[in-house]
Amino acid sequence: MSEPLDRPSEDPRLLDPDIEAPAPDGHPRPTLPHALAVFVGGSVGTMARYGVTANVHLMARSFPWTIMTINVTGALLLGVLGGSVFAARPDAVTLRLFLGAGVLGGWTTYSSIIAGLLTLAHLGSWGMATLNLLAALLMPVAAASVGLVVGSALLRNRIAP
Amino acid sequence: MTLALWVIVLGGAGATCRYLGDLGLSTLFGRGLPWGTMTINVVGSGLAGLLVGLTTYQHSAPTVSVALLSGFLGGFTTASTIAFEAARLIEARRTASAVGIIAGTMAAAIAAGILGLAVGSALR
Repeated sequence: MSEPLDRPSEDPRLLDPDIEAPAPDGHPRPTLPHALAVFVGGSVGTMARYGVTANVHLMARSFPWTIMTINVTGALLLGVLGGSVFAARPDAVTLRLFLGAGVLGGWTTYSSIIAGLLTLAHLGSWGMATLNLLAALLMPVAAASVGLVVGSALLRNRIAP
Repeated sequence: MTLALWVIVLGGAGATCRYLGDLGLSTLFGRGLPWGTMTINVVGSGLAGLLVGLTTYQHSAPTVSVALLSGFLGGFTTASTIAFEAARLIEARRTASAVGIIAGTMAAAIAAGILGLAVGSALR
């Protein structure tokens, strides 16, 4: 069975959500519209994250459920988008940068996980620190994998645009 | 400008710095693995450690620290991109690379955070 002629030879999902299509010389170039899309998306994602974490003390002895939920939902959504919309429309660079690098990049955070880990270690809560570390290593990847499977299935069934 | 507004604007600025930094670093190191995102998460975690060291775990962290931690560094660093890259590597049966980028970023980010914490505590 031969491949349809209109299918690009390269898997479009291999495009980095943070990166635009390469320029003719192979190196992607930043552009003002793309930087603005990332800025606006990043502000929206940060606003949402700050909205749910403003009253949460990021440096606490307890398990950081809020940040973990934020990172897991962000990874899940990026997986779904990467498997469906971004894969179907590899030319929609501005949309990918706005949603992937901007909104979801701003929504999720890595530095807060590290700040939380350092705090738990500082407080001597080694059990909680270990649990937090394992969750931070495994849960976002698991969520992104599930999202990628779901997104790819959506695309195959033409439910996604 | 209120704190929330600062956080939102700095979040956008952090994301834009990540976008520009990622482009520059990927051009430098190549795109075989997400070196740009990994480096940005490590640098952002080091800066977070520095801020935590400077504010000494106070229960009401200074406003500037909140704006920089939740705003700029929250927007600058990302968990979704690195998780997505690892998921794609797993899908491509490059499990060792996936484990490498996740564990490598975490180990380097913790080391950077500890270093930042030590520097911040010394400067306090």
